[in-house]
Amino acid sequence: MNKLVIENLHVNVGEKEILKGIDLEVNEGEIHAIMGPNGNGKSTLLQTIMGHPAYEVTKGSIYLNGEDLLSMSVDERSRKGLFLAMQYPKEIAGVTNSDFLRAAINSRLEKNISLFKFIKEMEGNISKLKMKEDLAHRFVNDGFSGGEKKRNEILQMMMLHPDFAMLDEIDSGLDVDAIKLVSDAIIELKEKSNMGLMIVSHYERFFTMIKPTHSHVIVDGKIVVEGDDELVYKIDSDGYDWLYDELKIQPVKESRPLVYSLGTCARNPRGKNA
Amino acid sequence: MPSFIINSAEKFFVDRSMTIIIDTAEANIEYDLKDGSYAILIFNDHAGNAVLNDSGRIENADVKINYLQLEQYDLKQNTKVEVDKNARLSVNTTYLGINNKDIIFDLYNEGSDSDIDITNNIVCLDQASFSMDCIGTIIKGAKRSKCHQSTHCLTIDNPKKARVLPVLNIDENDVEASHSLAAGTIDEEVLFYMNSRGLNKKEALNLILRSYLMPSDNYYDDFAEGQAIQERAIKKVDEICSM
Repeated sequence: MNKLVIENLHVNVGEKEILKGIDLEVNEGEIHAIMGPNGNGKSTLLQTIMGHPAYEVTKGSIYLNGEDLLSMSVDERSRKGLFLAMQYPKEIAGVTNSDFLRAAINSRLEKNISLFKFIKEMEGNISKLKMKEDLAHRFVNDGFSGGEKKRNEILQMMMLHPDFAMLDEIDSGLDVDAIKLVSDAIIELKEKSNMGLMIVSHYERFFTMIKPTHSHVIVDGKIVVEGDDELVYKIDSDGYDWLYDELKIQPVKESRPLVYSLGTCARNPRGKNA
Repeated sequence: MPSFIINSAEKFFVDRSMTIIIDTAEANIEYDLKDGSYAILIFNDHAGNAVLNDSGRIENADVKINYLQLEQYDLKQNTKVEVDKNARLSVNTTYLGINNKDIIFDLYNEGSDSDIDITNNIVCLDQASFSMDCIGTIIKGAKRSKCHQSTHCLTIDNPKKARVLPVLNIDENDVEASHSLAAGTIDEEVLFYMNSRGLNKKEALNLILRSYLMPSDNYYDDFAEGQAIQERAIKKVDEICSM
């Protein structure tokens, strides 16, 4: 049975401690909803599991099927069956989706996938997600709308067949119909492969479709409450304030860098110097 | 498209579309291209240090020249082309290497309504030393001429030197001219994204390097020949990425 186990995970970004002791166990077939206010560690948790170099694990462990994940490189983690659908997928100009995905699939196979099988599978999934037919020949996420990028993340997940998928706000930027398409695709893949899922989202609508088996709320780098899908609905209707009052905790306020304008030398719309 | 191998320093004249394979330490090429459309591919396949001197004049013609240099040896290239009235020159270059490359492009808009467009794709690998002067000159009297330069320079690990100097000398009014240069290494976030899909650094690099060869696709009139050259280029990239 596939199992992802996180124990007492502490993570720093630079000098600042973001995760302050996370314990979590995800088994195959389970769907874990990860919620919490912005800037309190949800994305940090997923990025750390995937191995982003900016996140330094200062204490704790992560095991995937008994193997020490923290000693593995990012690509090894992926080949071991982890997948992260990113909140802000990167654009790779010049590299087509088909070349990218074929290389990614081949990296985890002993014998390269046949072109016929690859094309058939890719076309089937593109059609399922109602994406443009020329997607295979377009550069990865280059010139994609926000919604297209998110669907492309799901397409990659469907092609790579992970054991555990982590979806970081995959529903943001999607319209109502696209959310339904994406959630149907996730459910279908989950039923077919019995993969485990960790899903970060702020929206009950998405969770209503996905139906999480477990839910966790992260506040100030710690899981402060856990439950099932009822917890998702309660937070959607009541927010987080009741939790702060009940547990006597305060969330970390999301900080954004200050931006100062040094003025501009651009011309204003009337053609006069600003 | 006929294919020629240059295997001596003797001057080689180009007056039609062709693929030129360089297999000599010194190649001297002269263009004499008039009245028509031409596609020239220059592929340096010499397994050793090489010097390439090419020059010439383009009159009333639309010419595309594609330089493909993927060999892991030193290269000195000196290209000087004059583009006359109503003529058009498109140049695409691909340089990939771990060695010393010293390139000078000297392109002249000699007549009115002449049009020059050069795109450079450069990848400097670890320990490479690359230098390019890309000089566009619009002479007095070349009215309504165009001269555009675009360069992408990707550095991998620690090249000794990666220098590109775009220069525009303009001695006429009523012209269009521009240059752009993007230089840098692979974005760490892009690398993380590719790693997160199972590609290790070499595999990710391979895909990115191949993407640098893609613009040269447009330069082949003959599909089979273009594909054959591309396959050779991809093989070179594979060799470099397996080092």
